[in-house]
Parts: sequence; structure tokens; C-alpha cells
Amino acid sequence: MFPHERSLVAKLADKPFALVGVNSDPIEELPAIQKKEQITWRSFAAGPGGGEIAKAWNVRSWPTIYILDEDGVIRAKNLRDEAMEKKVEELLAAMATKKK
Amino acid sequence: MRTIITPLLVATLLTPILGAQQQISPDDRKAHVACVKKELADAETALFEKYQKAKDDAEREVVMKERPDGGTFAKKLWPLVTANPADDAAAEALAWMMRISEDAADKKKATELLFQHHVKSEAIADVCASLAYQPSKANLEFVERVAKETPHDAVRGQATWAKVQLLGGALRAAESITGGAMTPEQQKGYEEYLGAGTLAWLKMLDGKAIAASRETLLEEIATKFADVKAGHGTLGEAAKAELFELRNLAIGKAAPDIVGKDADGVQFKLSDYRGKVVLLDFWGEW
Repeated sequence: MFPHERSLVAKLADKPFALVGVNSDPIEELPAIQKKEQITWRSFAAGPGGGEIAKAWNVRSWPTIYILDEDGVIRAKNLRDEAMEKKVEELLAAMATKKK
Repeated sequence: MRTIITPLLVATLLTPILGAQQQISPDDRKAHVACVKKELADAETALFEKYQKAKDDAEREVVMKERPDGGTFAKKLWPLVTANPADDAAAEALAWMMRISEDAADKKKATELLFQHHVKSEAIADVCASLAYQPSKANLEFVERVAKETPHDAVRGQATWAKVQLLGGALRAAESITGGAMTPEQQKGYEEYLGAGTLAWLKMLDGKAIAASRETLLEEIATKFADVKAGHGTLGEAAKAELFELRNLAIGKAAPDIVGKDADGVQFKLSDYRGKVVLLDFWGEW
């Protein structure tokens, strides 16, 4: 998962795009994990099991992925790899067209 | 001499097999079931290790041809089950055989015996739970039949919960088959994994009707079976969380905000990213 996400973040660095994580590791271990995996994006340190955040979002399998548009509306759930990337680019393209 | 020794020898050899099945202690019967399950698990582990060591696709294909056939292991338990189909060891064996048998006749016979001898047992709830994440027509019919025939409300609740999971899994599987999100190779592998029967069944499902029936079932669980224990909580809590997801976390809904702290202890919100396309990733290394 990480290599793909790293390349996506790098590729879309100049676009209105953000990767936001909700991490389920012990909170004190998160800084070291982020360093080791070269994770440059921000994550909520939700604690083991994803704590209250994962509970509120009814997350029961990891990774669980949501894609939100610029208005915070859920546009896709659990797409992976190419399909995930395609959806993100589709939403960015729609945003660009809207602005014009 | 030979004519005398042979029948004696045969009798001696057979006693531990035939006689022992009748008198063997319940613990030994359970150990026997555990042992056969472990044999298959060990064979699968060995295969997995070989698969990981394979250098290329051609080698991997050769390794996959050696995949242990679960059905052969399942057949090993027929003597135990036939000797006494009614105890807990037999229930465990039958549930396992039903799940992994590749021979349709074995599968059917195991299912029938399970119903005949164990449908009134509370342990059948565990069988429903073990099937809940493998969507297929047979598994769905199984949990529906348990819900109908069990005398225990708690078991009916768990069977209903398993049905909700199976329907949800079936919807997701049907979506991934038709969604075009997989590469052709992934698609082929996934369809092989599902099998022709399940694939045909999934393609016939009416997604809208299933989504509606899941919602009705979840409401039923939240009202009638709310106090039934499930995992770390109750079925009521689980059903409410699922209903929340269905109603508020579906595609097209505004994402609920998240407020929390990052790795450095700095507070931030999901809504800070309004104006940007956001990939929200629930992840972990643990």
C-alpha cells in the first residue's frame, strides 16, 4: 500500500489533493512508524483498533479507504491501486472543469 | 496355522479402529478433530512457504497444482461422525466438513447431519459465524434455516447477523466483479476463487432489494436481539454501527467530521481539508 500512496502523494503534490490517515497503532509508536515508512502525510493517531474514530466509521477491516470530494462528500469506498488513483484524478479533473 | 492367525490378526487390527470409535472419550474425539484440522493447516502452511520461495509465475503455477485438497481431509472425519453424530466433537467436525468439502455429496450430507443433530444446540451460532464472511447461496440458506428452526433467541439473533454479513459480502463481491476496478488477471483469479456456482449466483442478485433487506434485518436485530453478546460488545451495538454506516457513510453522503491529534500531538480536523480531494485511509502496521 505505502509505495503506491507515496507515489500518488508525490505525483499530486501541486494539486488540491490530500491524503489523510487514521492510524491504529499504539499512539506512542506512530512517530517511529511514519519515519520508517517515509510517510509524509498526516494521520490521526487514533490508537489500537483505530479507537473512537474507527468505531464511529464502523471500520472493521484494514486498510479501509474513503475518497471525498472538495465539499467533503463521500465519492468512493474501498477502491485500491489503479482504481483508487483513477477516481482521485477524475475528481480533480471535475474540480478543474468547474473552476473554468 | 495361517487360517487361524489371519482372522485373529484382522480382529486385533480392527478393534482400535471400529471399537474405539464407540467408546473413545469425548476429549479424544475432539482431539481427533483438532488433529485432522491441523494436518490440513500444516499442509497449507507448507504450500504457502513453497509459494513464497517460488521464483517466477511458472514455478508458482507448479506449486499451486500441489494445493492440498480440503475435501480429502474432510473425508477422514466420516468414521468419527458416523460413530456418533450427536456430540460436540461431531458438531465441530460437521461444521468444518460442510465448509471445506469439495465433494457436493459430502457437503450436503454434512449439512443434513448438522441440522438433524445440532440445530437445537446453541453451538450452531458459531457455525453461522464461521460462514458469515464466505458469501454463497448455500451459506445463506444455511443461516436462514438456522434462524427459522432454532429454539434459542440468541442463536436466531446471531444467525440473522450472519445473514446481514453474507448479504453485505455478496453485494461487495458482485460490485467488484462488475465494477471494472480489477485488472483482467485479478478478475480471473477472483472468479476462480469464488467458483462457477457462486459467480452465477452473485450475477443474478438484485442489489437494491438486498440493500433494503439488509436495512430491515439490521433494524430487527437492533430491536429484538440488541442484548445478544457478539465479539466485544452486543449485536445491538454492532447493528447500530452498521445502520449508521449504511445511512451516513454511503457514497453521496457528507462525511462526518473527524477531530483528533496527529503523531506530534497537534489537533486537527478532517474538515480542515475542505476544498481538496481527500483520500481518507484507515491504516496500521500492528
